[in-house]
Amino acid sequence: MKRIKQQVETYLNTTEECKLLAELILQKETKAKVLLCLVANRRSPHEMALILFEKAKEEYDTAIRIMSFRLLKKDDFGLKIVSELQFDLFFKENTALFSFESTSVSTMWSVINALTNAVKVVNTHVAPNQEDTDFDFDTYTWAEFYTKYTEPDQNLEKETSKAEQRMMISDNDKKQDQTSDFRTSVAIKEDWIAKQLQNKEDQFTEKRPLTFVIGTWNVNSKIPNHLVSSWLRINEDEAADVYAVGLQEIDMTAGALLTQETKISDQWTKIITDTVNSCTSHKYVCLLSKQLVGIYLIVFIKEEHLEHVQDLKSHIEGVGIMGMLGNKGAITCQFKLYSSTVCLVTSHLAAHTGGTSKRNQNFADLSQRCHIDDDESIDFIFWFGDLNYRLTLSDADTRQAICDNQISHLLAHDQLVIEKKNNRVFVGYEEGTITFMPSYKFDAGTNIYDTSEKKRTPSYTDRILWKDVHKVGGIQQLYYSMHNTFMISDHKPIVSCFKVPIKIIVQDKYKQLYRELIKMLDKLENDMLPEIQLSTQMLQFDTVEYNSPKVCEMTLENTGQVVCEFIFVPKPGEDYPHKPWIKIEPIGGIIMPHESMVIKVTLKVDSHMAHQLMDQPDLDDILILHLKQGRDHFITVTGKYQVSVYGIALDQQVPECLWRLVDWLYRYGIKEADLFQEAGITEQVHQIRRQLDHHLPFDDNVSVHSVAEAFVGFLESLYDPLIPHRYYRMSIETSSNAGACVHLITKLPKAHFDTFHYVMAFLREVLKHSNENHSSIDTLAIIFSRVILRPPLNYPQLQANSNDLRAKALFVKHFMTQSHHWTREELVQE
Amino acid sequence: MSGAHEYIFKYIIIGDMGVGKSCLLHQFTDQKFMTDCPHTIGVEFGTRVIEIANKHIKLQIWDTAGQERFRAVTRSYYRGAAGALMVYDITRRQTFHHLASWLTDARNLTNPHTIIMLIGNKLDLAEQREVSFEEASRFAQENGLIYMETSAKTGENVERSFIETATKIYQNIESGVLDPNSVESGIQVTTTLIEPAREQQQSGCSC
Repeated sequence: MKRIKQQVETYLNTTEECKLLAELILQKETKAKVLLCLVANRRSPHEMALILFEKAKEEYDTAIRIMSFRLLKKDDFGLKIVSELQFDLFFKENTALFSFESTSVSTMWSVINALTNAVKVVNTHVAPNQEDTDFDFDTYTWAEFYTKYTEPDQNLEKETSKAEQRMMISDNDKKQDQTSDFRTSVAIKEDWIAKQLQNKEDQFTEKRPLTFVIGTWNVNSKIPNHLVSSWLRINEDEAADVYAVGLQEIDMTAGALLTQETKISDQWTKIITDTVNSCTSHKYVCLLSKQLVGIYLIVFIKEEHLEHVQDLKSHIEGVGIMGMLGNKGAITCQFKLYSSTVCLVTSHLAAHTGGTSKRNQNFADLSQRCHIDDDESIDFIFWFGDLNYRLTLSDADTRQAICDNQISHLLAHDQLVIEKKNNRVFVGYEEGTITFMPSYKFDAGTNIYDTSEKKRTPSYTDRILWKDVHKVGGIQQLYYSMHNTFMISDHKPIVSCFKVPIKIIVQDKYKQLYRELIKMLDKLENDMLPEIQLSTQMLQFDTVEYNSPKVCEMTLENTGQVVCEFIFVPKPGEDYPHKPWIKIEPIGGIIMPHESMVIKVTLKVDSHMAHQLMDQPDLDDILILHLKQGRDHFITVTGKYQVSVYGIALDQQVPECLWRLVDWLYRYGIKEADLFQEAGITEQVHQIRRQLDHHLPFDDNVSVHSVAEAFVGFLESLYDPLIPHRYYRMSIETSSNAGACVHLITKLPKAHFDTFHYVMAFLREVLKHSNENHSSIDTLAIIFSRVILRPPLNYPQLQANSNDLRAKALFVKHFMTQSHHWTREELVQE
Repeated sequence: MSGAHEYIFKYIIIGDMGVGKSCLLHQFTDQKFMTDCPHTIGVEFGTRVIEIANKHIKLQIWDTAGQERFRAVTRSYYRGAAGALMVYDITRRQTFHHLASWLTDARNLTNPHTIIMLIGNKLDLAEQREVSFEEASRFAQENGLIYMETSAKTGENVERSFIETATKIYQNIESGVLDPNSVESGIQVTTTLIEPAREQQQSGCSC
C-alpha cells in the first residue's frame, strides 16, 4: 500500500500544479485497491478535486491509473456516514457514489474533516457562473493534465452521466433527495455518534427477561360472573410483568356493529382489572383497553415499569363486512418498554372451513393497515385471537383423533400449520407446541364438542403466535394451554406465558460511552481547527520618510491539519482592515497544510497623508488576521513618520524650501539639457528632501535632474495644491478663456497666489533657455499642470480624463507666455 | 421524538495579561496544563461539549489577548457572549485592581443577561496570595458576580467554573429570562438527531 501512496505523491508532484490534501486507501465495493485523493490547485487553492487512483489487481503490476477525476463544485458534493468506519461520497451532478471503509476512526475523521473543510472552501469561493453543471475543464486549466490520464471509457462514462443527469433533472424528487443529503459537519458528527451508539449498544444495554402472559378467548357474547384468575394463572408466585387479554364476540348485536364500542366492554374491563389487581400483591396499571364490535383488547403492566413505557400507540382496523366493518378485524397495542418495542395484536379472522384464503388475506391486510409490517422500530410482535383456521379432517376422524389423544395427527391437518408452512400467512412468526385439544366448538356449559345440528368439526381456532422481528433470540414460551373450566362460551380460553428479553439501557454505561464519544469528537474538532504560525506578530518600521515605501515581511505557516483560509479584517467600526498608509499583500488567501505564505506589509506616506501625520507622526495600527472557522491573530504595526516640509500647507508666503530649489535650479540647472524631462536619482531626491527639512546645503555633486524632481515633488506634496482643490473644477471649465483664468488667479489666497506667480516666473525663465534645456511650453505645461492642478479626493474619477489633462495644461500655459507681466495687486485693481 | 435541542453558548475569557486565561481554556478543553504558554496575541478559540440537565451544550470559548494595547480591538469580541469569565491572578494584587475596568467593559459591551463569573486563578500558588478569598468574595457580591478560585495548573475548579456559568445561562433560558433565539443572547439553538437515552414518563393510559 505504501508503494501506491508514494507513487501517487510522485505522480502529483511531477505536475507541480496541485497538492495532495488527504488520502484514504480502501474501497469496499471492489476488491481492487483504490486510493482517494483530495487535491487542490497550488496557484488557486479553492479549486479542488477528488482523484480516485486504482491499482491493478496483479501484485507484480505496479502501475496506477486514474479511475475518476472530479472537480469539487459548489453544493455538488455530499458525504454520508454509513457506519463508524464507513462513509459514502456522492456528487449531485451525476449519479456516481463511492463507498469507503477505513481501518481507524482517526484516519476516517481526518479524511472527513479535510473533505468537509474542502466543501466549505469550495462553497464560499466558486464564482456563480461556474454553477453550470457541465463538466468544464476550461475554467480549471490546471486540471487539463489529468484529462490525458482519464481513460477513453471514462469519457464514455461522462456521456452516460450527462444522460443520467438529464433524467435526474426531470426527476425532481430524486434530485432534491440528494441535495438534502448534503450534510454539514455537525450533522455528520451526529450521524456518527448515533451509528457508534447503535453499534455499541451491547456495551450499555442489558437484556432483562420480563414475563408476558397473553390470553385469548372467543366468549360468544357471554360474560362470566367471577374473576378469571385461573385462566390467566394470576397468583403471587407467577405474577407477570405484562398481562394482555384478547377477546372475541363480546358483543355481536347489530348496535355494536354500528358503534364499535358498547357498554359490555366496561364489564369486561372491570372483570379483568379486578382479576389482575386482586390476586397478587402487585399493582397493575391498565395501558389500554379497546373494543372493535366483538373484538376487545386490554393490556396491563406492573406499576413499577410504567415510567419506562413510551410511544404508546394503537391501531384498530376492521376487515369484516365490505372488507372494513368490525365484525372481523384487529386491535393493536404497541409501546416501547425500556428500549424494546412490543406490539400486541388480537384479531378475529374470517370464519368457516373454506375461508382459509380469506383469513390469509385478513392477516395480510391487518398487518399492513395496522402498520405492523412497515414499522422498523418493533422488536417483538405477539398475535393472538380467534384466527378461525380449521382442521381439514372429516368430523368423524377428528373426533376419533381427539378420543385417541392424537394431537399431532390433528395438527397435521390444521390449516394454520399448513398455510404457515407454505409461507402463505404468518411468515416469520413462531408458534409453540400445541399440547391441548381443539378449543372449538363446545356445547355451552359443557366440555363436549358440538352436538348440535351443524355439528361443527372441532378446530384449533384460538391461537397465540409471536415474532422476534430483529431475530435477537431469547424469547421463551413457558406454557401454551387451554382452560376447560370455562364453560360459558362455545370456545375455551387459551393462555400462554413468555419470557421476553427486554433491552434496558444502563444509564451509567450509556452516559459514559456517550461522554467518551463526545470527548473524542471534541478533541478531533479542536485538532481540526485551522492553525497558523506567524514569524512575527510585531512589525517594527522605525522611521518612515515621505514617499519612501518601507517593507516588512512576515511568514504565515499552516501548522494545522486542514486547509487554512485567512483574511485581514477591519477592526470594529472601521471600513478598512488597515490605516491608509499601510498596504498588505496579499490581504487574504488560502494556505495548504505544512505550507507557508509570505505576507508583505508596506508602509508608505504619500502626499495624501503626509499633512495629517505632521502633528501626529506615530504610525501605529493593529491588524486582525482572521482564520476562517478559527481564531484571530493580532499583528501590531509600529513606526514613526519623519515629518518633512513635504506635505505642508501654504499659509503665508512662498516656502523657504521652494525658494531654495528654484534658486538652485536657476543658478546651476537652467541650461541643463532635458531639464524636467529626465528622471532624477531616487536616493538623491530623498537626500535633497532631508537637506531641505534640516536646512542643510545640497550635496556638491547632486544631479540637476534630482533637484528638478525634488522641486516637482514638493509642489505635488502640498496639502492643498497651488490652485487649491476648491478651484479645480472652475479652472478646468475656464481654461480656454485666458481672461477668466487670470481672474480666477486673483481670487487665490495670498500664499498660493505668490507661490504660483513665483513658480510661473521661474518656468518662463526656463523657457527662455529652451535652446539649451530642450524645454517647450507644452511639455512644461503638462508636467506642472499635473502637480499644480490636482483634483480633490472626492472628484469623480471618470472625469479626470484626457480632456481634463488638456484643459489643465491649457490653463497653465496662459501664465507661461512672456507677454503677461503682472502682480496680484495690479490684477485686483483691474 | 425528533428535535431534541442542543445549545451552543458563546463564552469570552477576559482579564489582565498573564493571569492564565489561555491555560484555563486549555485545561478545560484538553485537560492539560500548558507550561510556557505564550502570550495570546489575538483571540484563541476552543470548544467542548458539556451536559447540563441531560442536555448537551457546546461551549464555544473565545480567549482574548490581555495586553492593554489590544484592549480596543478585543472589546469587539465581547458582543454576543452568553458568558464571560473575568480572570485575575490571586498572587498579583494589581490584576485584582484592574477588575473594575474589565467589568465596566464587560457590562457595557454584553447583553444585560450575560453571566459574568469572577475567577481568581493560580490557586496552586496560594502561599504567595496577595488577594484574600474574602476580599474577592466581597467584590463579587457587590457586583453581583459568581466567584470561584481555580488552578489552571492542577485543574482544580476549572471544570466547575465553566459548568456553573453554563448552568446559570441554562437556568435563564429555562425561566424565560433569556431568549435563546435573540441575536445578542450568545446562544445558538441547533436541532440534533441524537435522542437523549432517557425513558420518559408515560401517562397515556386510556382506561
